[in-house]
Amino acid sequence: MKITEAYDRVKDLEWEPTYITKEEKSVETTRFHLENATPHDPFKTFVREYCEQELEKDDRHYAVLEASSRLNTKEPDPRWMEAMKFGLSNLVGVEYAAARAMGRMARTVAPVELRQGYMMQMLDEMRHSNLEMNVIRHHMKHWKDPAGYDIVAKAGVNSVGSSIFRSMVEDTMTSDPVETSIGLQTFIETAYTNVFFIGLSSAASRHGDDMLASTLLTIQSDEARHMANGWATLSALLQDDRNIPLIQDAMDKWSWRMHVSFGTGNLLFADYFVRDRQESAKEMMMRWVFDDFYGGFYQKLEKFGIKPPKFLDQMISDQDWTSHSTALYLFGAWPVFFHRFDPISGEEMEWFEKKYPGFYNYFGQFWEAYGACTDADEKKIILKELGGLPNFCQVCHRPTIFPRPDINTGRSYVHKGKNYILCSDGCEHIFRKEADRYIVSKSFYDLYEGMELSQITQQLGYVRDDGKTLMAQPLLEPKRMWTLDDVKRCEYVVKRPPPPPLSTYNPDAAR
Amino acid sequence: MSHTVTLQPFGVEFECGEEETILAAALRSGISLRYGCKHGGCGSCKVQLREGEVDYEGEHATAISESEQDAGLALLCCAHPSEDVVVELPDDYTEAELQPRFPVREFSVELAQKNLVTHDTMHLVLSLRAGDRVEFGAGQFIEIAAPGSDEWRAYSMANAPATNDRIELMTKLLPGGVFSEYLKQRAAPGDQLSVRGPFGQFQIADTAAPIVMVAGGSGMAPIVSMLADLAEQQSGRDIVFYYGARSRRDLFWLDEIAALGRRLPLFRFIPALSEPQPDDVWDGETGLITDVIRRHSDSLRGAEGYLCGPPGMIDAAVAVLKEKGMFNSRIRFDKFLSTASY
Repeated sequence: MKITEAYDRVKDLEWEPTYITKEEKSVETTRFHLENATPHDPFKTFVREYCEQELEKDDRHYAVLEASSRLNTKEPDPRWMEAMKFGLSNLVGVEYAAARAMGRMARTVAPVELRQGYMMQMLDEMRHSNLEMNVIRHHMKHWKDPAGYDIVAKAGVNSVGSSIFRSMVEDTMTSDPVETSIGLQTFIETAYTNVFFIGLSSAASRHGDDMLASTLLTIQSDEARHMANGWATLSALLQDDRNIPLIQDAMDKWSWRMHVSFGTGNLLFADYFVRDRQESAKEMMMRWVFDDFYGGFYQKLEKFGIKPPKFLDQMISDQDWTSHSTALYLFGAWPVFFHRFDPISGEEMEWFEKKYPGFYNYFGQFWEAYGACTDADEKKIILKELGGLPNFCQVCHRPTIFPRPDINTGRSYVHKGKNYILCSDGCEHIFRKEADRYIVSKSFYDLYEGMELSQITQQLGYVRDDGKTLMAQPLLEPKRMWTLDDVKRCEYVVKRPPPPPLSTYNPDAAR
Repeated sequence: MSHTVTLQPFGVEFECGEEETILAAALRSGISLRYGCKHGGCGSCKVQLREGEVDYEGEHATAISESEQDAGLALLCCAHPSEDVVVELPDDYTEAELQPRFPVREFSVELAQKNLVTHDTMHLVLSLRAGDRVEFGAGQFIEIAAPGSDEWRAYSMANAPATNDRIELMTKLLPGGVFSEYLKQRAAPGDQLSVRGPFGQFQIADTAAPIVMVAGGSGMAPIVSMLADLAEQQSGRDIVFYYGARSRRDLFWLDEIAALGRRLPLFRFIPALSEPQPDDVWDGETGLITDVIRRHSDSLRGAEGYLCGPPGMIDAAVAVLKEKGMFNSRIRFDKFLSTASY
């Protein structure tokens, strides 16, 4: 029997049960209209073939891991290996959430033509989270300093830095199931996974981390199918004119939501976690995300009346400073992280100045101050010298230092009599539309205000087995490792900064 | 060495080299097959082979398993033919979707008019035989056999696709060019000429985005065809057309463009002279077309660019469009090659 024929037979097994209602069957409902859609089936693959394909990919990948752990190849770059403790803490949750999201899609809204694709994607995502957990396990066994890799899963949940990704993931998977597809398949997967997985994989490879390079490539080999799922879903939605304004709203939201999470992460990783640099992170993003996705992919949607995202220009200009502002936060707040930091050198600053004109003027001072605060005997901690942490955005959980600390767009916004802090027009736009989704999350200050810094590190669990030495260190090889007592001697107590000025954003202004 | 690939049930055939993938060869031959990632990862181009062997040497064909290969399935984006191959397309394919947008054919035309529009640019009108029609897209080109030689020359259509009983071309007369010399010396109304086509992917995207057109020299032709087509469709898109000429004597068809502009509600035409002569009567823009674009544009984010002209002008103009925020993926161009290098 031909595959297409067999496939149609499987589709014919679809039935509408009489013993429960439509609502009971689907558990959740959607505000989008898919009832009359006739989607194009993106794949015609059976589970048997799917499993064979994935098995083949796994065989190839695990062979690399097995071989490289025996061959004792050159030691990977320590900056990269340390930074990936934080890097990897962000990823597993995304994959696991994506698996859950696909289960919801298949159950609640998927027309039969799309369901098979969603179910396979669900299995893919489980595979990806296993692969990523396995890299973490591998690095824990083989990297010379396993401290930090051993708590990556926990840190993904309690780190103030990882909360940027975590909040985005939770936002994605608790949306309307169709909106989840738009956020996940159209934005995370279509817009960002190429730059993220391919770009990061190439960087991993340049820094001797073959394990991660191979992991990211084998993951990315599944992503094209996910992009096709996303396009099939969007095309089905576009068949019904009533969906157009709903799609526009969702795309406006998720373009910004990904910019402040995946975009921020990618810019940081690609500019600051590497030593061997090729393109700047901004150049990579312009080519892979903005030209390909916002230029090319969006163009296909325009004839249906979909307009470019509301904050597109801001998203592009932000990239001049995003990686540097994020690095300032990450390095400045090192005691609440769980890896060794490797500040950039003078030579690297010259490279940054060339790629980001004006860099030194705005960030040079920080790096000099950072250098003066790395010796535990000096009793000076950079976070205190900087004047403490800034406010955090209620939506994206980034500190309010974007696009650049001196021109940050942090603002206060009063909702039902209570003041909330937001980082940008984009996040305020999202907050105003669905404030109830965001008001329950606790900020860093709700949790730690009034505590002395070493107590926070201890409470987070970012302390080595001796019970006193910090996992994080401000240098790769400090003269002496910082302990909780060293931090305590710096006498920094977390204080909530005053709220920024009230918002002047006008949501009705023309796009 | 190349092999024949046959697409069943339609019997459509094309040639594919051993170094080429079947998908790439199909697309090159103007046959549209379905595909996704183009690099073996998604399985969107998986089909059943009825005859012949393929190999995947040097490709990363992950979306096909060995047992699928044993069952005669193939991933067209990664498959190289080892011999002649017969593909059984999935049964929801239609023959129409395989075809290029407009059929390519060779046919005879009669030279109806030749008019010098500048000192070195000639406008040609070629009539089709009575009852014959030519289908093409605005922006496409045809090839024309240079009489008295076995060479073909490529020119873009200057007329709208709706006027399908004729072909209008603009040719730059180059000293010593085989077709140019024919036009200058021997061409006369009534001459029979052979043409083949249409070819080319240069076309306006079906969107509502603002349009920036840039042309130089006889690169005017496809742009005028596009404008005429947009006017025909009663397009309401925002259009600005920059045209660069050396001096007043190189500028032509101002009235024709003005007439098209009256049919387009949001149209601006900005011609510019790069080297105006002392006796040129001219109150328009002067300077390099790139500087003129720079002066007249704010942000071009989201806009689309369509450029036709000599390579140097296109490269410089593309840089300005990007500088103004235009996405690279929204810039399309047709660099014309002089007869010397063609």
